[in-house]
Amino acid sequence: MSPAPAAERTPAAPAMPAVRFDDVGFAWRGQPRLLDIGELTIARGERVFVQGASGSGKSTLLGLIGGVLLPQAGRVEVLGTDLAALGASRRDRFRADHVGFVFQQFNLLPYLSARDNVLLACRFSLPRRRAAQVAGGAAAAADRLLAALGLEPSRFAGRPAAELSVGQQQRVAVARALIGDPELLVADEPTSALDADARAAFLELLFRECARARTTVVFVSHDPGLATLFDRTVRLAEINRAQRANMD
Amino acid sequence: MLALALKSLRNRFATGALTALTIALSVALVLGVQRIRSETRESFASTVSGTDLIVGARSSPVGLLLYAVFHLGDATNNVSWQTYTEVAAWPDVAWSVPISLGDSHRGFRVMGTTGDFFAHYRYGARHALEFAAGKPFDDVYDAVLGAEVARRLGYALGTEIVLTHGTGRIGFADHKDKPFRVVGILARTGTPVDATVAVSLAGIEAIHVDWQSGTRIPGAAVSAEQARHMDLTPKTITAFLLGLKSRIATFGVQREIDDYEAEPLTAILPGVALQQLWELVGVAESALLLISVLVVLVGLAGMVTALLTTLAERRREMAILRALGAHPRLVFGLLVLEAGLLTFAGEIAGLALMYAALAAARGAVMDRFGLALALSPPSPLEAALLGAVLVAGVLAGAVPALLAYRRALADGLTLRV
Repeated sequence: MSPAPAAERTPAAPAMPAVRFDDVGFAWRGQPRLLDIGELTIARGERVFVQGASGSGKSTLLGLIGGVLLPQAGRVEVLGTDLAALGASRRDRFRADHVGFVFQQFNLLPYLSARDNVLLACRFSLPRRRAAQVAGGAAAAADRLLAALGLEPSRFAGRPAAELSVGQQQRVAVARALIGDPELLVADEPTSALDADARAAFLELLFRECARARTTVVFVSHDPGLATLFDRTVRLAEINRAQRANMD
Repeated sequence: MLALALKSLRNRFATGALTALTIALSVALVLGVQRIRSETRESFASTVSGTDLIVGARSSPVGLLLYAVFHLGDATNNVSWQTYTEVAAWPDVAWSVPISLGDSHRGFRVMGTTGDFFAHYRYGARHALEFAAGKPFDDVYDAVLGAEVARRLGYALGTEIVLTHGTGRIGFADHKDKPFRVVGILARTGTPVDATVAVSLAGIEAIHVDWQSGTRIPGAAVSAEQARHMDLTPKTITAFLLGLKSRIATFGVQREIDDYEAEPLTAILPGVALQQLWELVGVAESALLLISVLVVLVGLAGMVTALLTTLAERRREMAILRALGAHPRLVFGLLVLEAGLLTFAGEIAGLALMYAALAAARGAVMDRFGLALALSPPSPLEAALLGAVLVAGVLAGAVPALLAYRRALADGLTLRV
């Protein structure tokens, strides 16, 4: 049983780690170096918690993984692909094909329905659209994900995103990040707006869906309380040589 | 992408609608001004149509046009009746209408002519004169009023009017002894005919039989009734209109008249002279068009402002699309598309507004100014104008779009809300 032909996705060697940072340096224009990471490797299927204080460069790290930002030094490989080697358009396509993002808040276009928000991910990626279609049609795949995340499609799928609660919006965002089975899910403090109970329930749903598709999870947060739920915890302060230098 | 742009716009309906309305108003204004401008020019250029030549004493073409047609200023000299009858009898001439000016009635010019005037005078798209009431003059003391004269002075059929010698508003030299009776009122034409009192040449002669050199001959009063029995053939007229059997002959006849031996004459082609005159007054219309173009620019500036103010709100939208793998070009395209859609919607609404205003006002405009505003589809010039506004709108949208493009690149995936 072979999945969708490999040629259709922008190349990603299966044996390679999901994410690999090699002597990566990054600074925002006109500012001191924010990130200087000697080595960071995240294996395929691994669930990694990246912990760091606000302003420590967590979001920048995610930007580097997403290929929206390029490092000034070193090499970022995602699924075995050196992102800097791709052109800007190819990088955008690579992100669309392989990486699902969930942000802290404001994940959704308020004027689209929950289902249309989920389907937006398929709109920019042909492989993910195909994968969703194999699963019985893109709309059906969206509804299935919404249902699995506790949002009964008949009640929620057609509602404009603006009418949903924050917790519901975050689950819609997860459905969008996972539709079409991308290899990597990157989450940037998606639970910060939720209370403790909702937080645990949310993570449980997230992990269940990621386990089903063997999706790699990179989850960044400042809240060390969540760390126990993950396979591994990476403290940004420990791997970021720039920050260590600043602190010294 | 279009669906996305539309849904995004619907989300910001109020701002979008206001922006489109601004553009709609400017478009309606610029098109309205353009319409009135071209109709005015059209109506002006066809003040006299169907007349091949206008002939008067030797003078400048525009001067002749001004006094013979627009009744502005006075003729430098008259044309003798003999010359008129001779020219009128030329084989190429199909018809001729003599015009005798010099008297007035309460500020309106009095024009002595013949019944042929009503038969041959044409204006606009070859419209003949029509009677709103009554009929052409028949008796020596009959008068036919232009629409404006009847409206302003409140005259009806049967009203008796007294003509004044000369063209002053208050006449010490009223022809009180020979009053005229209104027998006809013309429908509005939008030409100087509206402000004219037409009487027969015989009538003009009759009121002047006891005059000489602009004053009454003392002790030689002739009653209206006595005048009827005198020879009322004029000695001179002011100008005359000529219709030719074939328009090909126009230049030949014009040259013959200009070279007429017995009397120095000038013959003009009304269309050409009207064009020359329009160029003199055309500066005002250019100013008008300039103003409406400025109004459109203000409308577009309003749109840029509206787009810029939503930009902050839309950074979030852009970051989401970026995270999903959208290229910044898409972000750029969405904003430009939105500007284009707003401009387009504004233009459609503006057109609708313009036609609605036109439909509502055309009756009144026809009555008041004799200007026929047609509900015709946009002319090529108007279409070009609309196209230019659309292009300008898209370009105006490109400014905030470029900003959004650069921000989308710089923001990364972080939403600094």
